[in-house]
Amino acid sequence: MGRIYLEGKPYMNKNSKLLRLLAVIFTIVLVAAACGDDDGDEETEPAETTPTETAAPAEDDTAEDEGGRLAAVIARGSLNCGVNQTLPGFGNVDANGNNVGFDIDFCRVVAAAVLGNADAVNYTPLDAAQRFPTLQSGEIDLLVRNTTWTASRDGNEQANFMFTTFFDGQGFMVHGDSEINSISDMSGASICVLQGTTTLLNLNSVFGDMGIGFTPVEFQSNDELQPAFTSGQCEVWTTDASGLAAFSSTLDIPTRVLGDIISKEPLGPVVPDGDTEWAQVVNWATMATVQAEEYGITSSNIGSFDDTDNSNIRRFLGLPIEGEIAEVGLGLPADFASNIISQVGNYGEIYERHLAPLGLERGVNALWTDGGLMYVPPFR
Amino acid sequence: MEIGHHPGIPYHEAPSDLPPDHRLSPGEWVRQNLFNNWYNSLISVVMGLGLAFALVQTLDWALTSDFLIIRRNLALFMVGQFPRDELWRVWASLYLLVGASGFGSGVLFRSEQADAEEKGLPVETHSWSEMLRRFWAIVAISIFFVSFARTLLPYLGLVVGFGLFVVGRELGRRLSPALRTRGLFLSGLAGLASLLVLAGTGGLGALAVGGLLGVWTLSEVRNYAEQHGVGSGQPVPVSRRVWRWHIRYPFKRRVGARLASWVAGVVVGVIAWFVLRTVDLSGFGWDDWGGLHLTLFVTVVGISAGFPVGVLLALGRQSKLQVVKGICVVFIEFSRGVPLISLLLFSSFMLPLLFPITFGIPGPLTRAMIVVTAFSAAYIAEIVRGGLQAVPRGQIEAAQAGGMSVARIQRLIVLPQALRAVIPALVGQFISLLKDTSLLSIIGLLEFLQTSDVANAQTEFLGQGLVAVTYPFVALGYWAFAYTMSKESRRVEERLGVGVR
Repeated sequence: MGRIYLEGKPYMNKNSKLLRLLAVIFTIVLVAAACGDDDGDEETEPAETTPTETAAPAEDDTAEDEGGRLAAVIARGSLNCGVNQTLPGFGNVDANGNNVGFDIDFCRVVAAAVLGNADAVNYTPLDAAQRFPTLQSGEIDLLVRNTTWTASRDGNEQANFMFTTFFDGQGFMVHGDSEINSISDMSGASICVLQGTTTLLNLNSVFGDMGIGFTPVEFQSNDELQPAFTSGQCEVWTTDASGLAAFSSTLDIPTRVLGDIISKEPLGPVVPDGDTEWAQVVNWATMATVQAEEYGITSSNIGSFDDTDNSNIRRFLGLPIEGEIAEVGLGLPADFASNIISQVGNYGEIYERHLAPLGLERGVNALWTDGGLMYVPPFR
Repeated sequence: MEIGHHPGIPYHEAPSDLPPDHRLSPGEWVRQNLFNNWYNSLISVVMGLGLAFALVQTLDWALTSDFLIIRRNLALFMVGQFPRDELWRVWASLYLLVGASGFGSGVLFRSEQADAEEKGLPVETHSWSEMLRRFWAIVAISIFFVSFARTLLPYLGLVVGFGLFVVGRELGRRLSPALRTRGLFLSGLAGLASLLVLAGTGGLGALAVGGLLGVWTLSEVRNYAEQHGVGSGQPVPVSRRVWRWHIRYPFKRRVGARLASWVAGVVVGVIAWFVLRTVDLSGFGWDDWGGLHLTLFVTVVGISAGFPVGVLLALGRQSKLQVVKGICVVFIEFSRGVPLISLLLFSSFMLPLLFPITFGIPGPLTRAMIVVTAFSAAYIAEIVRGGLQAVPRGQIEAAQAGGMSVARIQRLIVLPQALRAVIPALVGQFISLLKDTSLLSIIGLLEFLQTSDVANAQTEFLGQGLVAVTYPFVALGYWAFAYTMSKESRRVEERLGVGVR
C-alpha cells in the first residue's frame, strides 16, 4: 500500500493538475457555448423576440446602415429620451412617478409625431456628465435636458442641436415695489450674485461695457443669498432667468423678474450627429408646436379646424386639400402636427403648463409676432 | 447555617458575605453620578439644558412641519417611478417575499432546535416577543412609513404582510426537521417568484427558476438512488479516488445514478425554463424600479451575489496556481483601488461597449448591479482572506494527511472558522453597501435618497426648505435597516461564540 502511495504521488499530482486544466478549459468552453447559444437565439428566432427587449439595441445598430434612427424608433414602437429629473419646471417627477416638465413635453411631442402616441416614451434620467456620452452611445434617440447650444458642444460632442425651445439667459430679479425696471435703472444698485460663477463675470463685463456702476454682494450658495435678498441686503438678484423665476415663486415677498437678459443660453432638443433624416424629424416636430401657436390652434380647439378654409392650416394639420392629402416628405405621417397638438398641445400651452406656474414670463420666448424669438420656417 | 452572621457583632452591622446590593434609587443614582461635585453638577446642568433645547426643537420641528410633501409622494419614496396602476405587483411580491422568509426562518429555527436537542445543547424556545425585539426597528419604520398613507389600502397591506410572516413562520416551525432542505428550497423558490412577479418571467428569471428546479430534481433523484440502492451499494467513499474508478469501485452503478440524476435535472430545468418563458407574466424588468425598493434590492443583490464571488476570490487569491491567483489579485485590487463612483461611471460609459452586440446592451440598473456586485465582492474577498489567514495551518495539514480533498478541507474546516471570525467586518461591509447605494443617483437611478431631491423639485414643494422634512424621513429608512443588520450580526456572533470560544 505504502509503495503504491509513494509511486502514485507524483503521477497523481500531474494528473490532478491536468484535471484542473481540463476543468478550466471545460468552463471556458461552457461559457463560450452559452454565449454562442444566445447568438443563435437572436438570429434564428427574430420573430419571437419582442421589440421592447433585447432586440431594440440590436436594431439600433443595423439602423445606422439601413433605415436610420427613424425606422428604428418606429420598429421599436417607443422613443428613448434622455431627461433631467430634478430641474423644477423643465424635467421632474410628479407624485405619481410620471416624468413631467417643459423638456419632457418635447419628448412627448416627438413621440406623438413619429409614433402617433405621446405616451410611447422611455425616459432615461441622465446626469449632466452622462448626457453626451449616452447620446453618442446611441442608447437614447433624443436628449432634452436643459442643454445649452454652444459651438464646442456642436463640434466636439457629436451632438446635433435642434430648434431652440427655450431661450434662457442671465436675468435679474427685484423686489415687487422696486423702482428698477431695466438694467439702465441699476446704476449704483447692490446686486446679489454667486461667487466665482460665470454669472459674476457676465455681470462685470456687461455693466462695465455699459458704464453702469454697481455693488456686487457675493454669496457662496443660493441658500445664503435668498435671505439676504429677502431682507433687502441687495436690491437685485441675478442668475439664470429660469432659476430666478423658480425662486421668485417660492419667496414670501412680492418680486418681479425683469425682461433683460445679458447672456445667451439657448436650450433645446439634441440628437446624435450623422442622421439627417432623424434630425429633421425632431426639428420639424418641435417647430410644429410653435407654428400651431402662431395659427392659434390649441389642444382644445383643434377640432374646430377640421373644416377650415385656410389652406396653410389644412396642409399643416394634414387635412385633405381638394380631396388630396399633401405629404411633407419628412418621413412623418401627414397628420403629425395634428397628433402633436391634440396630444401634447402647442408651444404656448406647454409653456403655460410648466413654466408659467414658476412665474416665468414669456419674454424673448414669445412668438415673433409678439416681438419674441419664436420664429419657425413655413410648413409647406 | 446562617450566612453572614458573625458572632459578637450585632447582626445588622455584620459585614455580609454576599456582595453588597448596588441597586440605587433613581434619586441616589442622580446624586452620585451627575451631581457628586461642583463641576460635575455644572456639566450636568449645561448638558441637561442642551438636551432639553434639542428635544424641544425636535418636537417643534415634528409638530409644526408640513408633512404634505411626504404624504403626497409616499409612493415615490417607496417605489420610485414604478407604474402606479401595477402597484399590485409590488404588494404581491412583498407578500410572497414576506411569507417565504417567514417560512424559511421557521424551517431554520425548527432544524436548529432539532440539532440542539440531538447534541444536548440548551434548546431555544420560540417566542414572538423575541422576534419583535430583534426586528422592532423594521416593524416600527414600516408602520411609520405607512402612517403617511392617504388611503386605507397600505394599512391593510401592512397588516396582511405581518400576518403572512406569522403564518409562514408557524408553518415552517411545524415542518419536520427531516424536510429542512426541501423547506428552504421552497422558500427560496417563493422568494425568487416574488422577483418574477415584478420583473416578469422572461430571460434571466426563467433561467434562474429553471436552474433551481433542475438542481432540486437532481438532488432528489440522487438521494432516491442512494437510499434505494440504485447507485452504489455501499455509502459513497468521498475522496479524489472517486476519479480513479478503474481501481476498485463499482463504477457503473454509481455513474448510472449520477447520469440519471443529471439527465432528470436538466430535463426538468429546461422544461421549467421553457414554460416560464412561454407563459411570460409580462413584468417590467427592473429599469423602472426606484425609491426604497430599489435601494434594498441593490443592497440584497450586492450582498447575495457579492458574497459567494468574494469567497471564491479570497480562495483564489491564496491559490498556488499563478494564473488564478493573478486574476484574483488584479480583480480585487482594481475594484478596491477605485472609488465606487468611478466604477458606477464605468458601468454607465464603458460597460455597454463590452457587451457583444447580439446580446443587447442591458439597462442601467443591470449594469450598476454588475459593478456593485464586483465592488462588494472585492471588499468581501479581502475581509474573508483575513479570516482564512486566521485558521491555523496545522489544521489544513492535518486534514490533508487525513486524505480530505481540497474542496472538502475548505468547505468543512477552513471556511466555517474563517467566516465566523469575520462576521463583524462582513456585516460592516453590508451596512456600508446599503448606504453606498445612494451613489446610484449619479448614473440617473432614482434611489431612496434621490427621491427626496426629486420631490423637492416639484413645483408645488419647490424652494420651501422641505429637505428638512424629507432628509430625516429618508435617513430613518436607512437607519432602520442598517440598525437591524448590525443587531442581527451581534446575535449571530453571540450564538456562534465569536470572541468567546
